[in-house]
Amino acid sequence: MQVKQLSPTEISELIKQRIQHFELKPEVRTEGTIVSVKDGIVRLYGLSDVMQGEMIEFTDHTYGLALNLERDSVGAVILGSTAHLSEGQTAKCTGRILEVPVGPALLGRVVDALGNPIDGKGPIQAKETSPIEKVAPGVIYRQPVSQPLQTGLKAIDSMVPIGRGQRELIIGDRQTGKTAIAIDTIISQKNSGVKCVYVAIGQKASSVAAVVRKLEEHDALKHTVVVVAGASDPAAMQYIAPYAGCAMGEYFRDRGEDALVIYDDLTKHAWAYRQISLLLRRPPGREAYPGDIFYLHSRLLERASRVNTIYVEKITKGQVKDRTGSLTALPIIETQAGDVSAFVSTNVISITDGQIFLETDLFNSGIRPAINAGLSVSRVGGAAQTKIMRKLVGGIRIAQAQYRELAAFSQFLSDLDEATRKQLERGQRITEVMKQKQYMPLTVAEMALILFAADQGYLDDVPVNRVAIFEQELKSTLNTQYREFAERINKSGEYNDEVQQTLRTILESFKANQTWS
Amino acid sequence: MSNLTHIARPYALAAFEYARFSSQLLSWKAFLQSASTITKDKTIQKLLDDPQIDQQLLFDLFHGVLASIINDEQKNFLLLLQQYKRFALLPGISELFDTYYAAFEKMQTVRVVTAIQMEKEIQQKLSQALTKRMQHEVILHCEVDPHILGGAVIHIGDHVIDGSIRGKLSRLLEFSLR
Repeated sequence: MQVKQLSPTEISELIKQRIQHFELKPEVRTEGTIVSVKDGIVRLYGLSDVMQGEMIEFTDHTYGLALNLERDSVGAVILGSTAHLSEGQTAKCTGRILEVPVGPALLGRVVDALGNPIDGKGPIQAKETSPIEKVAPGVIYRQPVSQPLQTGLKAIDSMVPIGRGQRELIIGDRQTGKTAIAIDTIISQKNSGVKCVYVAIGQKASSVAAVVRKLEEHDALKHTVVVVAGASDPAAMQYIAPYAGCAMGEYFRDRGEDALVIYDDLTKHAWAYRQISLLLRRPPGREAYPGDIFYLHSRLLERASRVNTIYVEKITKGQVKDRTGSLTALPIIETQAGDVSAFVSTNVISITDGQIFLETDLFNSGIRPAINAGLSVSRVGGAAQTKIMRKLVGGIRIAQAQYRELAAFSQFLSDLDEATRKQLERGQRITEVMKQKQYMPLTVAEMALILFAADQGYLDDVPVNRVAIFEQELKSTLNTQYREFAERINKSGEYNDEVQQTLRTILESFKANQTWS
Repeated sequence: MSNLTHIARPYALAAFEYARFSSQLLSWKAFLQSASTITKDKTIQKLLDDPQIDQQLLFDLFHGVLASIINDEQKNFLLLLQQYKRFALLPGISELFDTYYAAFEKMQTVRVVTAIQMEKEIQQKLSQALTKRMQHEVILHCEVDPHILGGAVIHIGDHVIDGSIRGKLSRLLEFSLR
């Protein structure tokens, strides 16, 4: 094996090149002294010029975030280990606010809250960085939500549709499938061009590893950035993680692309911030949260937006023209025993453009995703639905609402009239259709076909326990025999007499063949 | 520490405002300095730390020592400290008073660290340059620290101008590793 060796002159030449542009000006800085270090919080004396949110540099490249500016002291949180810090050490202002690497180089990677890779795949060659705290785009630069973001889940895309640029809350108790919805949504973006950011806050490392593995298995990691501030990371890292993830998503939004960011979950984020606030001795309020807990989440979720062409052109300095960008946010909130009136959950419900409410009872009775169709709403997504979906789900929503009422009422009746019985059976089948296995997101055409079948009564003579098989067979028939039609629908999402006729033909010929029973 | 400064601040501010108003700044400065020197005595410190101590006794003690140099207002100040049991704050009050005084007189203490003893001539030049730049009269405190290798580090309050060889080398290291 031949080893290329550098001669001493070559080495010195390289070093010379490296340090050629180094300026030897005296450094002017503002210094302070550490007065106390405890629980990841540092109190500093001095640093009279420090700004709120500014980075403070300690010894050994440790950084902190100035959060409390008091008369005689400054309170800061340390981003990382505090083991080597002690009283009397000096710290200096940097004049910068915290920045994380952004850009396409991050896709497919797992990073910590500061953007450092933690997946063992080597350094990230990101060309740009972006401050984690940014002001959301103003009203002039916004555009209404008008494009759908397909989650691939029948229950969501039909009943609580999500648009690009929307903030839709996923709320529910533990073990109700909140993360599952988020992961399915990411997998569903495989061919849509939507870049995803998954922010795991305060989660077990094993859960995060499982998510990453699932994404890898379904070939969905290549369009995803996973930001992790695990349960063992300091509260300060958990506090900044969603902002870092948001900055990474904003990069794509600002360049006229579509991005999706998932905050899993904001309950733990609020806990981390509560811990920091109490340690900084800020006065506690309701549930011991500090006074600015609402602003904590509102400023984060406000950054999810659909921006117009002027904004994209302005940010890219004219490089990207005639393109709108969007950042969709799916915050997750974990409730305790279904209590949505807790402090943080009510806050986030009021900030977001709707919520998907998941229930333990539904989950346990086998309805998965366990979406409560009555309490779940989407305030802006309806306008963003594809034509075909909008046309087909109108009847389904109403039928479902009537079915629920009737189902509760019919328990008291001994014999039912024909119309009621039919309605109940239709409802049962629609409920069955809304069930969906994990990691199997559907395309628009697949979804449209099965919803059309349910709505038009093609399922009425299918036994309830065969509906799932019927659907599966129908799906494969569509994707093999009617591929061109499916692709056309997926692309355009149109609905007219001709489409309706084709759907009918597909269903009739499929049922005639009886391949499902 | 910062808590004590908090409590001492109103006393210091009041004393300073009064002294400025009655043009007795120097007398008050001397009074507070001597009073704080007393508190630094070990025996006095023990008395100050004793929660059962009779405050009248403390007042008598302070007044007894300072009687020759203080006027009626300064005696009243001591009475006030006795009333609120705040004799232990005197060093803090004196320190804050000095800061206010320095700001008022446009004086600034500057700490200069060099690797070798600075010559008188250079010291003078430096203090002239600093006076011109800061528009403040400069009081130089020179220190020698061979660890900085060469050049000088100038501390003006929280601000630091680092022109040392050590600082430059460490910045060069960071630059070349970037």
